[in-house]
Amino acid sequence: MISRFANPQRFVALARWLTPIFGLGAAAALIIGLWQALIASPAEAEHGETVRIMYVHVPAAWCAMAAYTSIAIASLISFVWRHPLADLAARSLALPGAAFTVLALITGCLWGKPDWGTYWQWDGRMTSVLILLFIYIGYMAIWQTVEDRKRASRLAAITAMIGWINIPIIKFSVEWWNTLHQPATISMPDSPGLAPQLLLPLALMALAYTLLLGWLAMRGMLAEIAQARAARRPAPAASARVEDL
Amino acid sequence: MDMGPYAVFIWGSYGISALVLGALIIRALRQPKP
Repeated sequence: MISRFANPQRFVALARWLTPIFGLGAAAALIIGLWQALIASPAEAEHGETVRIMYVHVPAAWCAMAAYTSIAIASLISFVWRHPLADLAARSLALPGAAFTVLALITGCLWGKPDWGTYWQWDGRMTSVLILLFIYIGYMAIWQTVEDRKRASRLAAITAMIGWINIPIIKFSVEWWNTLHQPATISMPDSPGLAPQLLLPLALMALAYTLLLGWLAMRGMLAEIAQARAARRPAPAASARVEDL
Repeated sequence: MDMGPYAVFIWGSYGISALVLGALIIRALRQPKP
C-alpha cells in the first residue's frame, strides 16, 4: 500500500480526483454545520449560549491533534522507508495543523472567560496544547532553516516523532491532573454524553474541519510536487526575454 | 439569533475561525498545481 503511492505520478492522479471531493464535502458540511451550530441547535443547560463555541473549538482541537499524529506517522515512514511522498505529506500538514492549534487556543480562551471567569489558566490541558503549538513552530523552523534537504528531513522526522509524546499528554491531561478544562464528554463510555441536538452540529463541524484539513494537505502536496518539477526544468535563455514576448 | 450577554465571545470565536481558515484556503488556492 505504501509503495503503491510512492510514485508521485500515481499520487498526483489520485489527489486530482480526491481534492475536489474533499473540498466540496468540506464546503457542504460547513454550510449545514454552521446553520445547525448558530441557528438550529438550542442553548445548553450548563453553558447556555456559549456552548456554540464548542462547535468551532472542539473540531479545531481534534484537527490540531490529528494533523500532528499524521505528521508523526509520515515522519516514521520517511525515517524508516525513505518514502518520497512522506516528507511532502508531513510538511503540507504542518501549517494547517499549527493554524488549527492556534484556533483551538483562541476559541478556548474565548470560551473560558464566560465559563470559568478567566481567559487562561496554566493547567494541564491548556499548557500541553500551547506546547503542541511550539512543537509545530519548531518543526516548521527546521524545514525553513536547515538547507541540506536530507539532513532537514531526518532532523524534522526525529523532532516530529519525539514531539508526538505530547499528544497522549493532551488527551489524558484532564484525567491525570485537576484542571479547569472539562473531561472528554463523548469518548467516555459511562458518561451521559451530549444530547443529540448538540451532537449533530458538532459532528457536522468536525466532518467539515477534517475534510478541510485533508483538502489543505493534498493541495499542499500537489503544490510541492509542482514546485519540484518547475525547479527541475531548465531556465529559459536570457536572449529570448524580449523577443519572445 | 440572540446570543445573550456573551454574544461577543461567540461571534469572536466564529470570526477568528473564519479569518484563519479563510487565509489557509486562499493560500492553498494560490499555490501552483502540477
